[in-house]
Amino acid sequence: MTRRRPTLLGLFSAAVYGFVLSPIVIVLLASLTAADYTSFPPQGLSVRWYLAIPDNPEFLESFKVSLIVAAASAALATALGTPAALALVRYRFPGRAALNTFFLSPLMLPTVILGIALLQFYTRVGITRTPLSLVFGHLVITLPYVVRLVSASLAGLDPSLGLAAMNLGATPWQTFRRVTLPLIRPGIVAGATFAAITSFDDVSVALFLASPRSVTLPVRIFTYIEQTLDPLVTAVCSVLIVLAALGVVVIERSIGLGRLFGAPEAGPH
Amino acid sequence: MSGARPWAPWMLLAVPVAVFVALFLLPLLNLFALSFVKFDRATGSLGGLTIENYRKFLGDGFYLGILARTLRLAALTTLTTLALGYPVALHLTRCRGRQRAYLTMLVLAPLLVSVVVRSFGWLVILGPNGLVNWVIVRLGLVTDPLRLLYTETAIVVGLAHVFLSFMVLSIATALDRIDSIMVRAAQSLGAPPRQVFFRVILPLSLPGVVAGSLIVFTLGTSAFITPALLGGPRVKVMSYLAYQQTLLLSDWPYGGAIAFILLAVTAASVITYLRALESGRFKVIFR
Repeated sequence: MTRRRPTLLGLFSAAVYGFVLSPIVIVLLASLTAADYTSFPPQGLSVRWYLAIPDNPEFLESFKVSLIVAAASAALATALGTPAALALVRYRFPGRAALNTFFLSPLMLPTVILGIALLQFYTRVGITRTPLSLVFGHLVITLPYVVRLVSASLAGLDPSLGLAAMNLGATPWQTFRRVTLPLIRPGIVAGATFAAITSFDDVSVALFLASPRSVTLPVRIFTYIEQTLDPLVTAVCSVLIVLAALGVVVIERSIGLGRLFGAPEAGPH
Repeated sequence: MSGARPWAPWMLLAVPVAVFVALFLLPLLNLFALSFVKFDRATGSLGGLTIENYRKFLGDGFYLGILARTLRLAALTTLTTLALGYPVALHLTRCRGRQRAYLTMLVLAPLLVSVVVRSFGWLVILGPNGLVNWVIVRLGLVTDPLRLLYTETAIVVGLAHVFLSFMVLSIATALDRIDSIMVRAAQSLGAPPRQVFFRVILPLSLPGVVAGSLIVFTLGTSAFITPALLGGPRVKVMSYLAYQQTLLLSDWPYGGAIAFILLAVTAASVITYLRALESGRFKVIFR
C-alpha cells in the first residue's frame, strides 16, 4: 500500500490538515508583529510583545494558579479514580453499571450546566472565592478520564496474574502493590496526565468558579480577548502553544500518544 | 471473588462515591430544584415554587430562536466534520507505521491547545485585519473587508475545527475494524474500486459515522467558549444565554432552567436519532 504519487484523497487530506493547523500557525506568526494591533499578515517583525508579558504580571500569576489547580485536581482525581476503576472492573455487584455511568456522566453534560450548578452550590456551602472550589470543580470534570483510562488498562489485564499471586500466598494488598499496580501504571499515568491537561485547559467551569484572587490562565485570556485583541495575547497564546507542543513531546517519549488517546497500534500489513 | 466478599468493591468505592455525590450530584440536584423557584428581578429575592422559568422560555419566540440556532449550528457542524472527516479517516487508515502516528497527531492537534487559544486563532484569521480578508481584498474580490466574525459561519468553522478530531477518530476506528477479506472478496468477484467503496466499505463504516456524529452533535449543542468568542452576545447560543442569565444578570433560576432545557433537548435529539437508525435499512449493522 505504499504510494509515491499523491492521490486525490491525499491532497484533500492535506488541505484539511492545513485547515486544522491554520489557527495555531497564524497565532504564532501574528505574535511576531511590531504593530500595536493584531493583524495577519503581521506588520513588521519583532518580539516586543513577548517582552511585554513580564510587564503584565497577572498572566504569570494566573499561570501559577492554573498549574497548582491542575496538579491538585489531577492528584485527587487519580487517588479517587483508581480505586473506583478497580472496583468497577474487578467486581460484579448490583448497581455496577449505574455507578460506571455516574462516574462518566460529567463528560456527557454541557459544561455550562456544571459551571452554574457548582457555583450555585459551592456558594451555598461557602467554599467559593477560594482556590479550593476550582480544585473541586476540576475534580468533577477530570475524574471521568482517570476512571476510563485506568478501567481500560485493567480490562486488558489477565486476572489470572493476580490469582497466581494470591495462590502463592500474597495478601490482597501485596497483590495490588506488586502485581496489579505495576501492570496498570501506564493507565494511571495516562489518566493523571489527561486529568492535568483537562484541568489546565478548562475555561467553562473555571469561568464560573474563579475568584478575583484566583483566575486560571485560560479564563484570564478569555476575559482579555472578550475586550481587546491586542498582540499581547497573541504572545501569551503562543507561549501556551509552545508549552503544549513540549508537553506532547514529553508524553510521546514517556508513555506514547497512541496509548493516551487509545488510537490503534499500527497493524502488521 | 465477589461471592466471598460482597463488601469488597464498596470498600474501594465508598470514598469516591461519597465525594462525587457531594461535589457533583448534590450541586446538580440543587440547580434542578432552583430552576423551579420564583425569582424577583427587581429585588433579586427568591420566592416560592413555580414552573414560570420553563414557561417563559418555551413561550417566547426570542428564546426558542436561540434554541433553534443552537441545534442548527450543531447539525451544520456535524455535517461539516463528516464531509471533511470521512476522506481524512479513509486516507489515515491507508497509512501505516510512523506516517500514521504523525497524521493522527495532526488530527489531534486542536485538542492539545486550549480552547481560548484555538478560538483566538480564528479571531485573527476571520477578523477585519485577518488572513481571509487580506486574501480576498488582495485578489480584488471585495473592496472592503467582509464581516466574518460574530456570525454563525464563524461559530461553525470554530466548532468544526476542533470536533473534526472526534469524527476522524471514530470513522477511522470503524474502518480499521472492517475485515480486509470482505474487501478482497468484492475485488476478486470483479467489483471496481468505486463499487467496493459504496457497497462494502461505506456501509460497514457507518457505525463510526453514527458514533462520530453523535459525539460532534452533543458537543456542538453544549459548546460554550467557542461560540461565546466567535459569535459573541450578537449570535447567542443556549450555553451563552445560560451564562448571561446567571453570571451576568444573576437570574440563577432562569439560567438553571435554560441549562436543563438544553440538556433535555440534546438528550431527546440523540434518542430520536438512534431510534431512526434502529428502524432504518442499515439496522443489521448496528446490532
